[in-house]
Amino acid sequence: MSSAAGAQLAAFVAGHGCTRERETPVAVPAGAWDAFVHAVVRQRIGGLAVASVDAGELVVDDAQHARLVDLCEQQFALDLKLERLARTAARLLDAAGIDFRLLKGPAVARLAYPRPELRSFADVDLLLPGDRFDDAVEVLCDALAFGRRFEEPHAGFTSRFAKGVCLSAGDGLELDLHRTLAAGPYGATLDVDALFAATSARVVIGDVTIPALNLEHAFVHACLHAVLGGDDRDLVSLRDVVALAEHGADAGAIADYCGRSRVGPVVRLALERAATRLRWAVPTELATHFDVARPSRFDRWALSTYERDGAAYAAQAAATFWVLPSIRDRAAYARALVWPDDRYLRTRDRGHLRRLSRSASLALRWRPR
Amino acid sequence: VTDRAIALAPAPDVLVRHTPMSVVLCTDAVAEPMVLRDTARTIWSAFADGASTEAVAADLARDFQLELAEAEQALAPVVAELRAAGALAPVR
Repeated sequence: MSSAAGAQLAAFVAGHGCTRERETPVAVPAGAWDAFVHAVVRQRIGGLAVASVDAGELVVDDAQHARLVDLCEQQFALDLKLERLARTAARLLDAAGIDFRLLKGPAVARLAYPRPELRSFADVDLLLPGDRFDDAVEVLCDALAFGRRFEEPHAGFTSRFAKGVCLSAGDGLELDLHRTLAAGPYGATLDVDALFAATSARVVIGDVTIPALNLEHAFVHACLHAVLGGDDRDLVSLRDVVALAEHGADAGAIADYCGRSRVGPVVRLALERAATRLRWAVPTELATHFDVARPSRFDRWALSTYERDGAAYAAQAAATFWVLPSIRDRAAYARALVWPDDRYLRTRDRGHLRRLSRSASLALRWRPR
Repeated sequence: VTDRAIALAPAPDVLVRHTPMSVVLCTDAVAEPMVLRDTARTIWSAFADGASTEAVAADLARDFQLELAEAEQALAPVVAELRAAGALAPVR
């Protein structure tokens, strides 16, 4: 009971600043404080919690306020270390002549929120063009002494087919390099070239100006992450959806891009969840555009591969095979996953035959129906 | 004693977050971000608002009922630490 009350209060706090019905100030229910603090830390919404107190929406005593401020200081210290990492990575990629876009937290905090304190984050995410992806990995790993958290099945697989790669360092900081904005079938249908072709937004971090996705593309990315991210820490992504929508993301441009990328139903789900969880009043223009985006047979199949219970990664990998655009792509994709490099195989399967059998079974199980 | 002849301001590359009770700073020169509370936070905010070192010392002297020389002495280590961390830099 106290856990549910704490989580509910966290969702209320995450909706601070959203257009929603004015509510009377809320106090922390008896016995729910610890669960609320746990949720605030886990969802990284300390800044929104303190802002809720300052705005008179959340009533806490002095000790509770001091605790929330303390949590913010800890989270802000991490935010700043990550911003510093983002700035360093941006300088390195610029020097190497590699185009990129800053994604999610550090970008959206400055693009769509009134103050960056309202949007914390856990890592740095960069989108890279597939044809320079491996160059970027090499540049960043060499200069920052970072390493890949996971091996790729075959050289060049990530830059051609995967969502991306996670680089990490001894200090625990992580740099997520993305080739596309989602794993699985929706990552494969997404028009990634359009993300680079569009005029980028500019984010100033200290003394460096960094390119980021424009508001519309950042909005779509927030929706994809909120719905397909496979994580119950979805409040921040849903809050991004609201922040970007209310900061002027153009509903028509969003709908156009979603139509080309076949992700309209995902955006519709994200809008529904933001409305329910954050009590947000979805702007009429957005609601009108996406009310018609009902899940097709393809969407029901694709969305089922992202369900949290079960082997989502394997399901997405198998389903991606069926949405790749050409036979040549499918052959290369299947070759890499069915017959991966030995080093990759050693960490996952006992041998090539077992891998072959498992891959065939997965591909059949997750074929389009 | 702080060199009053040098005008100081937040360095262009310093990264900052504010809470209602503190300021968190990060620069390339420090491994871990610094958390400034109480008087250190007030001093930082004064420099961020464009106050001169002389004016900051005068404010401290007034707020804590100190002689100006005492206030300057109290200010000096905080300024030295912020400069060493690359958070405060001379104004060009």
